[in-house]
Amino acid sequence: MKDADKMTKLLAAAKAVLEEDIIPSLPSRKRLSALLVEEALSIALNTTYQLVRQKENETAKNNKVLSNQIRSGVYDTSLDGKITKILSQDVAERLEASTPDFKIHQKFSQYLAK
Amino acid sequence: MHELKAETLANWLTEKTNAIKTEITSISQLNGGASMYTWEITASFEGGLLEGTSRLILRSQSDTPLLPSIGIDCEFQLLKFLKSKKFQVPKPVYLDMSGLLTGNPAFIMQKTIGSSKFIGADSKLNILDRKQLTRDIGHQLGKLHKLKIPSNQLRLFKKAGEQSLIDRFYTQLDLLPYSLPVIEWALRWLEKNRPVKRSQSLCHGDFRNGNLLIHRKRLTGIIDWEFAHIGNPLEDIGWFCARCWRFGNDKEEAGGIGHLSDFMESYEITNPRKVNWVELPYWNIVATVKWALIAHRQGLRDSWNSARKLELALTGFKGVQLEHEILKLIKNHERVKI
Repeated sequence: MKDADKMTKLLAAAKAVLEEDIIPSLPSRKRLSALLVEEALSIALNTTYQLVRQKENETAKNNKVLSNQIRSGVYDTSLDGKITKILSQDVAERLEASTPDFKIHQKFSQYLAK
Repeated sequence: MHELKAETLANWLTEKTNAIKTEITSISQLNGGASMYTWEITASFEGGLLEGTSRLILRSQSDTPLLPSIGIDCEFQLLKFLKSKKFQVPKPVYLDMSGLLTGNPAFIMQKTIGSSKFIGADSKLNILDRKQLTRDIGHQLGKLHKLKIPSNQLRLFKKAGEQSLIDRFYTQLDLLPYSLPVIEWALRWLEKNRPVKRSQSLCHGDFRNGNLLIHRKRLTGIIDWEFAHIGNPLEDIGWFCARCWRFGNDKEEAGGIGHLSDFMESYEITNPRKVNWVELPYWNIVATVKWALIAHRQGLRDSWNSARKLELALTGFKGVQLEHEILKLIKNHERVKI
């Protein structure tokens, strides 16, 4: 899973908001549901963390090699050629894993407190 | 330390304004700002220069200011200069370089009425409002870009102008703890397709709808000048018009607010200096690369506030969406060339 490292950070941050900001202020009748959500997040977090350890070195190494090749001009003769297929494939996989909706709607969102 | 104590602030304001007494009636920290902390303050002054009740904004530098930031002192001087030229910017009032108020340099300005939240697709702006607003924005940006900067003010921006924009992007990319081949590729493409260097202007550096204040459907203020620098005027326009800042209101090419033609017309009436609009798609790509780098960096930042931490982690995930957009924009650009 690409971007798994970021995923663990995201899940950990979401869990912290739930634990520190939301659960303490919930009425008791809603607290059980929130604690179940917290438990689900913990499981997802642990599973993702395992994936990070398995895959991160390989992905990071491949990205570094490709980046070095691009910077040293290996693809300069055809910057819009084969390399774009490799990059597009990588981005499509990462989007599929994190925000698959974006692939369909392609709309950028904004966080606004109403 | 990012604490603002009402008593310290009241004493400081009393001294600065020559008031007999100052009472801080409300004080709240605001969200937002890339590397600054902001508070909204309501203060009542008995006597002195601000007698009566004033709504003020305090802007303070963080412990880790971002590299391209001009800093609190320069931002304060710039706002004073822009205000004197009748720009729609907040009026700066007092500067605290000693760090007495927040532990870091800070300045106080008068609060500008307006909000940046009412621009999106679900806002109550009708077609005519949007047209007028777009023209207002075009006018303000045109006015900024034709501004002659006195030599004694130029020193404010020297730091940002030392390195080319693309070199700065490379520096930012290399600061990340991982490689990003899409950004690497995009920077290579930007280098190879760099337009001919043209005349430079004072640029806002973060000119997007989130930094524009609207009240009663009209533009009331342009805020957050910390990334001001001397650069290509199309850098500001490309950033303002980039699809990633339209928040889904994509058909309104001018910042998700209105039509590009209205913006261009108003801009050109105000600023007769020639802008090569054909280069705008290139600067949209520059903008998207810039935002992608920021998003990746934000995803690595930490915060003591758990909600802010979650927001930063989510922003990190925008990076891949922006990489997708970059690939699409460059492919389109290449297709048009053929």
